[in-house]
Amino acid sequence: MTGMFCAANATSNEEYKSILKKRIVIYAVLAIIGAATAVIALMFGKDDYTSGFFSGGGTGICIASVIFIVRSVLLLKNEAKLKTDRLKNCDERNCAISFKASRAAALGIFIAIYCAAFVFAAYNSLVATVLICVIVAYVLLYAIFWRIYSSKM
Amino acid sequence: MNNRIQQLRKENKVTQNELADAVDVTRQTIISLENGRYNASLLLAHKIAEYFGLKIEDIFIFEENDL
Repeated sequence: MTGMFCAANATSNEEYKSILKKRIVIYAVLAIIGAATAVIALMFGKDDYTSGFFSGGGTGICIASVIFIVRSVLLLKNEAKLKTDRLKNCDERNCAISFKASRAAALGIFIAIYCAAFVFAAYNSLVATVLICVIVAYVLLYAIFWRIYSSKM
Repeated sequence: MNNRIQQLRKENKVTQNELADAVDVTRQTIISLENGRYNASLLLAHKIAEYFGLKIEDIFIFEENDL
């Protein structure tokens, strides 16, 4: 399985290198955000659950980002592996699969959130409202991105 | 849409890996194209046609229901 977001435009190793370098910066920012979240949660957490939840999440993001940074750096140093990874990430069939899988996953999440909102409506109206807001936010973002891409294509 | 990729590849004694490398896709994509499970984009069709020194319509066969 390739990544959820294909880097569809890299036609050479050099182009893919610049994409990887940009990704390393993004991963570094994510690692810092994750570490900061963990530290703040441990220092200022209201209770065990809150501090555990946020420190766990932050640590997870930080570790995952570091792993991706190491992986990207190793790829940058090995032309053969870089090419293999580029083909996997930029291959048009893989991108088409990723697109279809994302659509199916979005539909699945949509249905799951809708069902969860109905169940939670009986117990906790706040959770139900938040869940419905997530669906509304998705629809709004979809409309915004539709307009952006329709003006570009 | 049918295509003659496998036939041309065998005639030219080209492996799936070699063709995949030449047109910048994975070997799995070549397999899917040959099996007819995936239709190439215009760009990929152009690359494949260029590789074999043919026109796109000589490799990719459009049928009535494709149009």
